[in-house]
Amino acid sequence: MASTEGSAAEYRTYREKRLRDRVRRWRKMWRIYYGSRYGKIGFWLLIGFAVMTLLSPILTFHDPYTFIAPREDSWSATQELGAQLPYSAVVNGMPLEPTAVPITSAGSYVVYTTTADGNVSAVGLGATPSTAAGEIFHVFSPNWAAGSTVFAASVFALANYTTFQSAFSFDYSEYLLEGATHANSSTIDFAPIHWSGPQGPGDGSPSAYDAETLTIPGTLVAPPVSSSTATSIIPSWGPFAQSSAYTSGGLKAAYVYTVTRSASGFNLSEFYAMPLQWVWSVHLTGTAVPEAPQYLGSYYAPPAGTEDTAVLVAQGSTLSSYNPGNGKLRWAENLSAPILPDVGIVVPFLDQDSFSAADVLFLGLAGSPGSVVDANLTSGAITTVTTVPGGVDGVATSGDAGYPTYVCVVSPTTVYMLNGPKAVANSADGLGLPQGSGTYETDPLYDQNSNLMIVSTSTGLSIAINAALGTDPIQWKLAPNPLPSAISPPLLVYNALKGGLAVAFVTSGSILDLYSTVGTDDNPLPPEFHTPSGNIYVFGTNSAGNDVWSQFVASFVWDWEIGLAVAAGIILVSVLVAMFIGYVGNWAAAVVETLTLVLFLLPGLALLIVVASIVGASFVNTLLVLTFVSWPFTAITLIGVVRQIKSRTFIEAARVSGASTVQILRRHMLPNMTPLLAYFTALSIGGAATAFSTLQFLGIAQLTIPTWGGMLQPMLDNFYFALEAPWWIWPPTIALTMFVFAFVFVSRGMDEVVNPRLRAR
Amino acid sequence: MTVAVDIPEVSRVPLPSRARPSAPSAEKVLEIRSLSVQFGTEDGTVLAVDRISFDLHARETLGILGESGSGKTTLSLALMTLLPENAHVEGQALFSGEVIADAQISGGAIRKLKRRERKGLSQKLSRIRWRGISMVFQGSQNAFNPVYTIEKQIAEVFQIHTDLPKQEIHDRVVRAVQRAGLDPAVLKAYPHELSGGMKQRAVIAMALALTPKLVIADEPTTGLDVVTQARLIAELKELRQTRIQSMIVISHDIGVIAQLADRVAVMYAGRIMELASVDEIYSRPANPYTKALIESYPSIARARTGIQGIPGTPPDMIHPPTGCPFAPRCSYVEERCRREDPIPQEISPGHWSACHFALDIQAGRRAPTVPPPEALPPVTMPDGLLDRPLLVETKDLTKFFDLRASAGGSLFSRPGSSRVVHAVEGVNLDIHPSEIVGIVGESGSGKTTLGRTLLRTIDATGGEIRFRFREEGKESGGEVVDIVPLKSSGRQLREFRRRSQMIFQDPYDSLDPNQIIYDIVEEPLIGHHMAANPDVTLSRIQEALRSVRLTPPENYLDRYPHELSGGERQRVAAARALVLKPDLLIADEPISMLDVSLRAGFLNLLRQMRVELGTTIVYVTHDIASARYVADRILVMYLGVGIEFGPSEELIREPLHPYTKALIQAVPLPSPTWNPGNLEIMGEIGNAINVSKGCRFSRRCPYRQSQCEDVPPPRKAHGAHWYLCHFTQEELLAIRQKGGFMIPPASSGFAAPP
Repeated sequence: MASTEGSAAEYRTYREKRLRDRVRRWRKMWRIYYGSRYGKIGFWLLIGFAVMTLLSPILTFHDPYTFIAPREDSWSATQELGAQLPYSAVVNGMPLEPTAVPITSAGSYVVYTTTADGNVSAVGLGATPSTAAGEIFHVFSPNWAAGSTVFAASVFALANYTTFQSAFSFDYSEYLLEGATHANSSTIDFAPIHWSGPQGPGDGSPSAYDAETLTIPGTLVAPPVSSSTATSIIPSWGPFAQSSAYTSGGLKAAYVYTVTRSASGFNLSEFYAMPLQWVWSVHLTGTAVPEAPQYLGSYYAPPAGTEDTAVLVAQGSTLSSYNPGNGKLRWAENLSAPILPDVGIVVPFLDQDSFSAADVLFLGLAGSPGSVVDANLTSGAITTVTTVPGGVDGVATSGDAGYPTYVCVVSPTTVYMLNGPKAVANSADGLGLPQGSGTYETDPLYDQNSNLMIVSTSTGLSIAINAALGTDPIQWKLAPNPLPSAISPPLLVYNALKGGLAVAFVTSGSILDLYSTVGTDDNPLPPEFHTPSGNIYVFGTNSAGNDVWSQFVASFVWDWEIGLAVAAGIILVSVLVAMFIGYVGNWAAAVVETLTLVLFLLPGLALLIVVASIVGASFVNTLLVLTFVSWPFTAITLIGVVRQIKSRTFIEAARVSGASTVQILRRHMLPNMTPLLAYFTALSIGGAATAFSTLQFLGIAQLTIPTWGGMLQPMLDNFYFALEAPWWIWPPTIALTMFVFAFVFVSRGMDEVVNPRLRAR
Repeated sequence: MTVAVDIPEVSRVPLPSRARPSAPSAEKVLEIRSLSVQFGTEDGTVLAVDRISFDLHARETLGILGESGSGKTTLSLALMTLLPENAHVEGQALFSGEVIADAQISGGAIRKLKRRERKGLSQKLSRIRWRGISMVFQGSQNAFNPVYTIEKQIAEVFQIHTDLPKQEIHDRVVRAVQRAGLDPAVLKAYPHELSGGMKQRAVIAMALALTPKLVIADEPTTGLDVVTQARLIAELKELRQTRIQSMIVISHDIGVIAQLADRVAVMYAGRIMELASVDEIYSRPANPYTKALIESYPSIARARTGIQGIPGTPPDMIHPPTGCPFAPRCSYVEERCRREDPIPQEISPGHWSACHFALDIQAGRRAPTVPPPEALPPVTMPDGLLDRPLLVETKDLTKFFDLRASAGGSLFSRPGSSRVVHAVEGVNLDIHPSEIVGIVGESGSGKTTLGRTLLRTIDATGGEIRFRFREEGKESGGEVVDIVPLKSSGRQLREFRRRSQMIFQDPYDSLDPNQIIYDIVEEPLIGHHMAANPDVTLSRIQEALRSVRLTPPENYLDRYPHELSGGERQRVAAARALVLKPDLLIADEPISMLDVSLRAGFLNLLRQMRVELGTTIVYVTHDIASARYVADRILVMYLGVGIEFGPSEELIREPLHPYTKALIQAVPLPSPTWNPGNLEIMGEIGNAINVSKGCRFSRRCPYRQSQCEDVPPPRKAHGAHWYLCHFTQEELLAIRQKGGFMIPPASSGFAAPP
């Protein structure tokens, strides 16, 4: 190659060789770098961060800030009571439904649960006679005959007024608890419980009477029901009103209705409860087994033959209405399909005793698709409300008088909320079942306070659905934790203790749970991979409901971007300034140097805060401020380096060679500063990410950019989050620390390259 | 810039005649048994010291002579157990029978010692160090702590190693500095108030403080001026005779070693090539390396014959060559040398040489197997050189540095005090085309400033620099322009820049370590917009490299400076200067950083450049011998003033100025028989701030008369040879004979400056 000199190809060869040499030298530097322990750790940390950054678009499941965990994931009913019952309340594997009764006008409640052997417990809710909050009383143990079947306790009646009157001066409240047994004989036993005591705090106590036996026509085919209705057991009237009502009319307020099978067919009978005596029986015309009858109308004034009370019996596909006064059939309607026993006869809350409105009786009809019909209470006229695919599992309505505002129809997988008279279900009204919650079961409960339909699913989950659906239809979910082996149908009760409605269950047969129907925000949520909405919260959520994992992962990108942008700015500015001061060095440079020193000596964080608040907190501004505050440190160091390089002979040699200042700076100064610049870049990236995070943590920078420091911002208000929600606080803390450490380690490693004296050690 | 006042210091008159100390006794102070030192580095393992064995007897001085990288400093560090942690030692060194270096206790091995062993070792070492072995480190005169007085720093030695009471320590410190030839008054001074020679004496006083058995002096005179060096050598000789039991002197300077050592070990590539008494080494060398080394350097005493350096470069000690390490550079090399490692053999009692042909070499029976490089033409001034029209002419060229020019200087300096450094004052110099002019002076004489002012890298304070812008290829003609007032961005100054270039002192610093040779040499072409065509650029670069004997250029273009030896680097620097084909080339101490064996080659290159390219060269140096070898005329500078100027042979043989006379007298000769005799000079050069109104040299001049101090001396010419003095040679002689000669006082009082 020596012969032909000066060819362009040869020139290129030298350039290439030089490039190769540069690569070789970088490789050597790399060997030194990687040979240092710090450098190695820093390098692998950075690789880890880089990988996470590259993967971050894939791994960011949700928008870091706009995504808020849906209420079905993050809102739940709060447990208000979890009372251990002294026995197992399970019949045939299913916990018996609790029964509640108000015992004072102030709204104190007693919740009763029954067991297969007839034991009854009462759990007081609120400051009532003898019922401290959550206090369990074992109130009754009637010693039923062997082989008896116990129905759920039914509280339904005020007792005879003489008892009431004798206790008048003591301000009694008195109730009857009915335990029913069904022997194979045509008798049932009723066990009344007398509950007495002064109103208010005191030692009122329940006392049980002996069971009274009643002969019934045939054998019982459904649990007996009382004439209590949803509203009528709520004493909206005081003892005086009660007493006048009873004394003036001499009425007997409590009735019991039974459906029985006799040799001739099925009978509906009415009994008076106290003292127990037969009133009437009618023969049911249909052949299908009837369901338990339902009483409508005010129970304390059941005048014989009045039109505003009714006993309804569903029997196969026939619905009949009887006059409770005399047992006469008012009307009977044949329906297109059998009435679903699980759904039963649904009457809106207020219509159950006012009996004023028409078309307020709702039935679910069997079949797939199943249908829901309404019936006119007075005429029995049937109208189809809607048809739902998959069959009807439950029907509920809002409780307002007249035709209900909302009719809720539940199919196994969907809840339809029909808004308006005779609205037809369409998919827009449907709300799919949250993931992993099985199928819908039983009738929903309607909470009129919050306008919620509370539906239960086969997995024991209860879900509160906004009756108006809306954007966030699911208001909260209720999953007893741990999920019990079995759970009773829910009951809405008034929790006097907490002053609101509550859902009551018996779970696992022996625990009475009360959950507030007002959901609470559970955020920050712990890490969760199976949520009702199907979202995955790898690191849970923060207190605002944002997905911590998404914020965490998205921060990788931003912390890099902020770090690189600011570091680039710092290096650019400080190199230019350092070269100007260190190389040019005229009086203007002295001025700049003084200003640099001033800026350098001002406390960085304070300056950062002040400048950031002056120029405003936009993202670009913040980056500029960070650069502005940080460059003097690098510049001051670089000035010395520039001066040192300037004092080296090859710079003078270049000047003698006629090289211009720009040429010297570019060809000599910059390459000789490069390793140091790399060192400072590494430090600056880590520093800038930290500084930005600091600003976010202090709330000075915008919080729309996900960074680890921004994620930690709520810690400023409540540092207990570190303990309460470690899944939220610790990942960004560790990541930020490791990020800074990675660059510190990298710069330590580079230090060994730049500073050969360290290498020998 | 030191601000020490210029105080004459002790000078001993007469200098002791060369006398051997009492014969070495049989007691072995130091025994070194096959000692090797290796350093683990990123690039590989460097073999720094390779199986060295020798004994040092009591009352004996061993000189270790070697170039940089020969392992001489590593050896001394090993003896002090000061090796860094990446060092690995094999073999053994015993001091008075105690192990001071072996594989267990030296370098990184210390870490592996058990705690108790380490403690024991450190106790042993603190006992041996300074009381047994003390060391004068290289350049340690600059390692004094500037905030403590000299006394405090010397007393520290006693505090650490003895339990003496304070008063006793003070007395001993006083005695120690007196022994080292210093006035006790220096004890109250701070380091910056002392001159380099005084500081070096203080360092020696420190080393001698505890009267150790062995003193290791690493380059004890390097960095000192010639005059000071001569004096220090004389003092060390005297000390050696009286105080020091045994001593190791390490130096690259043949002259210094010749003066101080009884026996000399010549080291090369980590080995001892030859070990013999100093007379044997100089008169009957038995190793080609020793021979070449002695012959490779111009001597002030030797005639101006062509000298040859040693070709090639020292071996890469990461991959040491097989066979003799010197074989690639040896002119007597044979196949056997490359194959077989020469074993040191005792060719006569006490004379060891590691060469297969030691006896033949010694007897001169062996003919060179490698032909010597082409003979240079005899060193003579080209005919008619001085008749050609001048290329450069300076008129009263002056450069002052105002110390108050900086903000700090003007704020804190005392008002009214003169803070002007008279770096160059009133220099009249005329340079003919293709001439080599030597500028000689001690450090601080302003010779470098003069060179830079000539190039206008520094702006002159006053005077003129007339430069002839000749047309291409013409000897005469062209416009003569004073370049001092030219605007810095003007066209004419750019043109001047193209025509004037410089070679710097430090070849390790003057080349950008990040650039390949191609880039380095290309630099001036870019600066002058001549690099537009890559083909032309490349051919120019190759031509420049060829003209500095870096052949073939292709082998160098893509290499980095660190891959080259010092000599090659300096040639690259020369190529960079030559690529523009300049008229004027200033070479600022171009060989002072080079290894001895490489210096001659570069000096020859300068001469060749003049012959082949017609380049005019200003050769700036402190080394008058090398100036004699290359320069046609020499300007001797003293404190900013050119005091003598004349054809070099004439100036060396018949110096006219008292300073030049002393300077030439003080250069040590590489011969044990050298004796500078009575140096007719006082003190040290001092600084150029408070200069006398009259003759600059008057404060040191033994011929000083009353007018010298106040009246500037006239120029007295002897043909082409002139000097600045009030007196003619006859008058000077008369002063001497009349007894007006001021003999430097035997112990001049040192007064601490205010």
